[in-house]
Amino acid sequence: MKPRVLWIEDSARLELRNLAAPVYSSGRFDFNLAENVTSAVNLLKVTSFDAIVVDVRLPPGVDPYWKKLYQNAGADKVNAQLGIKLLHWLINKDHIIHPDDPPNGFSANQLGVFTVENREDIQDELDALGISVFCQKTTGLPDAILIKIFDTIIDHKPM
Amino acid sequence: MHPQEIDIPFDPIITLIVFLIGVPALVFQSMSPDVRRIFFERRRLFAFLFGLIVFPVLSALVVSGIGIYTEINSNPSAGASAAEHAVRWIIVLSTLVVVILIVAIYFPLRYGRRQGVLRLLEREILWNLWLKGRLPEEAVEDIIDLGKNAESPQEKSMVLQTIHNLVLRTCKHRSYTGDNLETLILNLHEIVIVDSQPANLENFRMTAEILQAIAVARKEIQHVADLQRTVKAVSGLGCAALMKFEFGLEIDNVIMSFIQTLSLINYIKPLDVIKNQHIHVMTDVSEALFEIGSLAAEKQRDFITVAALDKLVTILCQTPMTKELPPHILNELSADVMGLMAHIWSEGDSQKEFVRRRMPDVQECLGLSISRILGKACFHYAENSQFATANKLAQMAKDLKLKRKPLNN
Repeated sequence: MKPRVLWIEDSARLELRNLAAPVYSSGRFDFNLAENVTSAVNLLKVTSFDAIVVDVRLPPGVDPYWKKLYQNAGADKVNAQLGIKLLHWLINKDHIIHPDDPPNGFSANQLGVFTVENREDIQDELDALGISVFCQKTTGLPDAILIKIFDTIIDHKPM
Repeated sequence: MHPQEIDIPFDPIITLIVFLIGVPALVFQSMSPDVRRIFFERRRLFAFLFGLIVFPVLSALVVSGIGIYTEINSNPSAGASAAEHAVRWIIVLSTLVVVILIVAIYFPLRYGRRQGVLRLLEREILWNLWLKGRLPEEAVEDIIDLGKNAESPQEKSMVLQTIHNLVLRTCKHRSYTGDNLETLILNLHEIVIVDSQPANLENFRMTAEILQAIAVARKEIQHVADLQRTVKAVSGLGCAALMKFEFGLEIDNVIMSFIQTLSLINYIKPLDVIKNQHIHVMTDVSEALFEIGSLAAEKQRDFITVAALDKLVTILCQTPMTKELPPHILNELSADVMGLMAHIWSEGDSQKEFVRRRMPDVQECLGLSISRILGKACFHYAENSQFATANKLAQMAKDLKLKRKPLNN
């Protein structure tokens, strides 16, 4: 069975060919993409994943609660940090973030963060969530970086 | 009291009341044709007439009547001053002006604008849902019409947001069995695909999310009808997006959200009672991926094609029920995989190499030789009158026979 993996990333539109295409072409993963929090939650509701890579700056999608959180932060992805809020909701079952029960069975070692933020800027959040896999999006990353991140999460290696 | 002593300002009162009667005509004129039709064809005339004409005019008559009554009954000899008289009529006339302002400002906002009508329809639908557990077809059709005729992408987006809310509420309702959203799903595409208007990507994206919401909203459904309709809608919208938009990073992303929705439907674990029906949903998903993938191949949208093929191979080889699938279902799934491979194969040499790399996965999971798998797929498409795909499969088989050795390496 191929590992089932999820990339939650709104700017995938920019990185689609560079980063996602090698994952599809490799045929090694059952690869899924969600480009906003609503779509990600829809996927997480119906199935479990061996590895989930999350961006920090995510748009809310159509769900009214995620939309409200986004609007409360000035409708700004940088301020809203919905990726971090999604992780808190999933791991800590924080109902202040969203009134619905999050899907069960998530642990920090299934998760990784792949974002433009510096590690230092979100280190406190990562520590609070217990997430060790982090990769900063910078220029010059190899095309297979996403495959590497998924492998790291699945093999439980630090990154 | 002598009649000549009564001083009632009839002129301004009559002018204001006549103006009040004329306001509905102004509101009527300002309505867009579809909004007007909803009011006048769909039994909402009473609310319109009552809200816009009867209630304001009655209010104006009552206010004027009170003014006239107090004027008649005031006793000038008891020292009713001119100031008192003036204040009385200032109050009456101001009240009339306020009624006119309410009618002229509030009612056009409430009834004249698409947003206001949308809110009324949403309330009506939710009320029906609460009472009967079903969506009233007529009101749903009205919402679809509002979406179809919306003049801007923002207005369409407003309609889609309302539909999303209705979908969530319906699917969470205790009486939802998986078969209540027919009108909505079947007509959803008409909102985003209207030939008279330029297509809007964001609205395609929102539609994909609505369809996702239908797919995942409740697990304990008893029917798969809505799921099957959802698959058809996703397939239609995915193909329409490929046809309507030129190549671009953004559009690929939107089409990916349709592919992702299909993939998500495949992950849903059915209850035992609908297990057999759910198998047919799988074949619908597979067919939809084939349709989007083959169209993308034809239009040289390689990323979409590769993603669709990857999903198809995953469905065929990784579905927990694959081993238990009836042979005819397995044949359909493998035919879709091979059919898409044949479309990719026909596009060029590097595509051929890509197909060669993915073929062993299929061979391994079906436990059959490639020539046998190709033969079966070719027969399937010929039998279904899809001769173009059958021909491409035949050509691929021919090419592979010529180059059998490299494949076995």
